Amino acid sequence: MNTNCTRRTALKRLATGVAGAWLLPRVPLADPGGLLRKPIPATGETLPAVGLGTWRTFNVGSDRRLMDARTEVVRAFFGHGGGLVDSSPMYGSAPDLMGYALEKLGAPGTLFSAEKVWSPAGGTAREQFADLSGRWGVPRFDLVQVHNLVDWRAHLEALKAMKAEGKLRYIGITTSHGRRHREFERVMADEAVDFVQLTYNLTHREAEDRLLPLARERGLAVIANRPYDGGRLVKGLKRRARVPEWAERACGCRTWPDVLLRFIVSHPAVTCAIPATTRVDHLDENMRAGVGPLPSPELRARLVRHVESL
Amino acid sequence: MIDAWQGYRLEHFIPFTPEVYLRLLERVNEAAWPLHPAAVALGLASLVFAWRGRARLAVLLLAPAWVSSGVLFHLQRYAELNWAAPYLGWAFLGQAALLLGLALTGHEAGRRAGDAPHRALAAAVALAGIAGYPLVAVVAGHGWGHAEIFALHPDPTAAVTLGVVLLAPGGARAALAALVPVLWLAVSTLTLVGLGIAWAWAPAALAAAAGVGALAGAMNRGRARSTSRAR
Repeated sequence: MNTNCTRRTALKRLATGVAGAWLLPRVPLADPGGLLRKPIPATGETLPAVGLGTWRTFNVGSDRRLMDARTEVVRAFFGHGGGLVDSSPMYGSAPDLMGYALEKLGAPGTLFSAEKVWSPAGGTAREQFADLSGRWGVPRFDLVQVHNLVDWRAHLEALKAMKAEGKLRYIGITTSHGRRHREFERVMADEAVDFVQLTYNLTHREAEDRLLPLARERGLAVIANRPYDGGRLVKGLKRRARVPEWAERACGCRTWPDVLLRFIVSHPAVTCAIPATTRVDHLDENMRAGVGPLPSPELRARLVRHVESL
Repeated sequence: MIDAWQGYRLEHFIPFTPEVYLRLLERVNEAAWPLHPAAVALGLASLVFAWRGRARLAVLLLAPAWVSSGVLFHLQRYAELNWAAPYLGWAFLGQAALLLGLALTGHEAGRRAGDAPHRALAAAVALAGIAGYPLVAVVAGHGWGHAEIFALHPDPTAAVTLGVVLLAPGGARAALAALVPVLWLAVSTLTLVGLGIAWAWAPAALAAAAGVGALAGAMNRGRARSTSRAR
């Protein structure tokens, strides 16, 4: 049970949560570049609906050749108007790569930096925050999440205090691969978090049952990780079939990555999907999914039936 | 707890892409050049000494190879990518110390008659590590820059070590010296399978061949003891 929730904060959360979760997600906004933006229920601030993940793809060590190649991916991401970049101390040198890229490119105004604290990396939440801040070269993070719920009680308390001190703007929790959903649900229900990150894609829709409705009810922003199930989903679908013509006609989806991303971000509870890639052409393809019409509920249901039949 | 582990696949434990692993192989070569001929010569010398029964010298020559591959590969580069790599690096340094200890305290085995198949298989495993392994990446279409070399990269270092210790000391000492190489080849196989690298099963195949050689050698020695008792 959250013992830090005062009546004032509860009312504020209720007001922003109700507005954000029930009203704003139904009216996705578009930025001047056409990129779909969705609101963070806690504040109403909007985020581009397609972000950038860094798991595996940005862990390149000190190899300058690969660091420069990944920097081009970051450049293309911000060139499209991208915002949220998600990393973790579990992702090897990914935070260092972000520091390298931001130093080369300059930190754009659209950057929404999302990091995590993860006990096995060593140190307290504050120590990890300081370390990650130095590696990214940013004075503060927009969002810090408790990675995979590891030691979430201790970490959340520390993150709440740091949020109050103005060192970060939002706090959250993460899970992936559909694990620990019961405990995740309890934390979502009881704790004052702003964001949740979970696995949600066309073939992994367990979150639709309880977590996504709860996120809307509680006014929590949702980051969907593993949109392509680590790449397996795209490869499998490409092997089996072409994108159906009816999907292209209805929402302009030309490729399977396009279909998969639009499916995810069209869920009213989802704020942002975070595909990871090593290639600029794939990044361009991902960002195209954040432009243009989203599938209707009927089309979403038809896509599910179609993919299940393949 | 079991529920928490359900849904994991091998690739979920590997925090980098195949492209990064291939660059790791290449970066080790870039850093070590032009030591490659010396590294190959070291491996060949160890094999020749082992084949001629100069077990202590053969094992002694393996020790620096574990230091160099442990430092160049694990501690200096792989550690940037994988949190487990420093532990692997220290295991490689420990293996070097073990080989050094075995070389200093062991005895020359001499050439044993009557176990030719086992010796041939052991030599083939070592030779595959020295001369065959560098070709694997090339055959898979990745070019010489990705060639894995004894004493620089861990897989051929482990394979050559298995071959040499099968030829050199016997019994418990060989088993002790083979432990880290076998464990590494298992870890490497899992990593390569998880990454979908074309030669993923090569480390396991070499470890299996060494295992067959060890079994054949043990059976030969058992038969030889039975025969001598019967006489």
